[in-house]
Amino acid sequence: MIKKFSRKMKITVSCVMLVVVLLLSGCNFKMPTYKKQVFYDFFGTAVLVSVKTENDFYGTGSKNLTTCFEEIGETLKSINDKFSTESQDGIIFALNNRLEIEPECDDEFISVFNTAKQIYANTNGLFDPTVKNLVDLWGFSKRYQENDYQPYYAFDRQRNEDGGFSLPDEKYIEAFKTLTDFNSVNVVGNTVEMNAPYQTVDGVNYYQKLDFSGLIKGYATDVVKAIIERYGYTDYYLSAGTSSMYLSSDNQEAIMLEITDPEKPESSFCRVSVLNKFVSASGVYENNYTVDGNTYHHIINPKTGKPAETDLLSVTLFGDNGAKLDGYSTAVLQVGWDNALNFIQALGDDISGYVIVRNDKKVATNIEGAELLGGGYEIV
Amino acid sequence: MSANVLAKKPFKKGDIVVYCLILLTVALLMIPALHKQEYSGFDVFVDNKLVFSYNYNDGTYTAYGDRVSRVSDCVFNIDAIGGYNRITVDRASKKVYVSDTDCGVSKECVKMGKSSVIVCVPHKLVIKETNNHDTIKVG
Repeated sequence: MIKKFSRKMKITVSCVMLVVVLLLSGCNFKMPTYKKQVFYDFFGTAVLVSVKTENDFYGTGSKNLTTCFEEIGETLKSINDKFSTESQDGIIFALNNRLEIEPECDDEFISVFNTAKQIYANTNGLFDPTVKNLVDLWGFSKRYQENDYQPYYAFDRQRNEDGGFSLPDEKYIEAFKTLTDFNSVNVVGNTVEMNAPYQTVDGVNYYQKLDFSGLIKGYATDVVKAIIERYGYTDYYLSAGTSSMYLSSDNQEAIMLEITDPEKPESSFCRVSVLNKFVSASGVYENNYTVDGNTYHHIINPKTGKPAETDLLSVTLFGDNGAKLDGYSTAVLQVGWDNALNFIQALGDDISGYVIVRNDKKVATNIEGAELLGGGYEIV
Repeated sequence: MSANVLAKKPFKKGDIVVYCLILLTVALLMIPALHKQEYSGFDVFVDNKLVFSYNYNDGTYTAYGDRVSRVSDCVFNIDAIGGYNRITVDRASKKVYVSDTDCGVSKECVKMGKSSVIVCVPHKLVIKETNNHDTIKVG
């Protein structure tokens, strides 16, 4: 009898426990989301990678996530070193400084080079990786961003009290425009040939320079996305600075994207929910200075050698290739409102969405559900 | 005989251990779930160290160390690495942003606006919101 009683008790207790567990699962019991965010200091900006997962709270899953982030860090460092204009071990540094060693290009370099060639061709040269001399001349390269900037080259000007510069001398613009010609740069075998003849101004020789910074952040997002997905994560976002990013989630409301207000860059003017797409933005509202009432921004038209004359304040593009989007957003900004949509259409499937802002606060977009956040903007 | 029977317990020691283990396992599994984020606020890190936590719900905050000083009701000054970042809390929209800094000409952290994560690379400052939904700013 006692044996029966004992068995009954055991069964009862087991049933109660089972009911508790079932009730918990019936209450939509879910493991909490674990979010890991890591920042990397590459490409002159903060690269943020944020991964959410419900499977990695404990044990091997956590190890998997750690390994994933380690691989991302190593890969970003490798890309940065290879393509940075400042990394002394990199190919670009060796080329630009005409170092005696002849740097050999690996498959990754050639792949990025070929992508740059594609963008160059598709944008009729509005994206040009040899525009570096002009960008530097106008005062928009990294060295000018330092608080302790001091003039160094013959064409450098002292920073004005308002943070800007006087305009560069025309003779430099003409000389550096000649050096801006990506057609004259080619990969032959596994070496890069830069064929534009050097230009001499006031007895100083200036050489053609290569700079992939116009697409490398986008390329990095391409690569990091592939790593994250190889590890099996689907709920994540990554951004290289504020201009190149990728957002991925199954939950439409998990990540909201806000687009910078060109007239008030610390604020946003538009909110969209676009997932599983690369995003790239270019704008004339940052990194600029004013001389005699005219604003000179950092997007240099390779054909004129001067800051692009455009009525667009910002361009935000969405698509499936980060590197290409980076190059295209720079180019679309230069063609202006009247030509932008045709230009985008001609680029084909590489661009699936856009938000374009004109200087009169008119906005063109094909993003469904794009929500304006005030500031006087109007979608037309 | 009956005394022997009464002395016997309905559960053996081993059974109780197993039940306890099961209950403990269930409880352990529930901890993270119960810990689900009801809290809404942000943390500020300087050089990977937590220096400030703020709760949007009730406006309470905790400063760790002496890097943070209150400028006004919703403005705080962070003495970061190599300079300062002034942050402004917008409790109505449950957002925080860097309103001023001396980190360089481009001031990327200011341009990040009310993003869920704000980074100032020169000053090694990171602001992370502790919400379930992310807002990312592009441009």
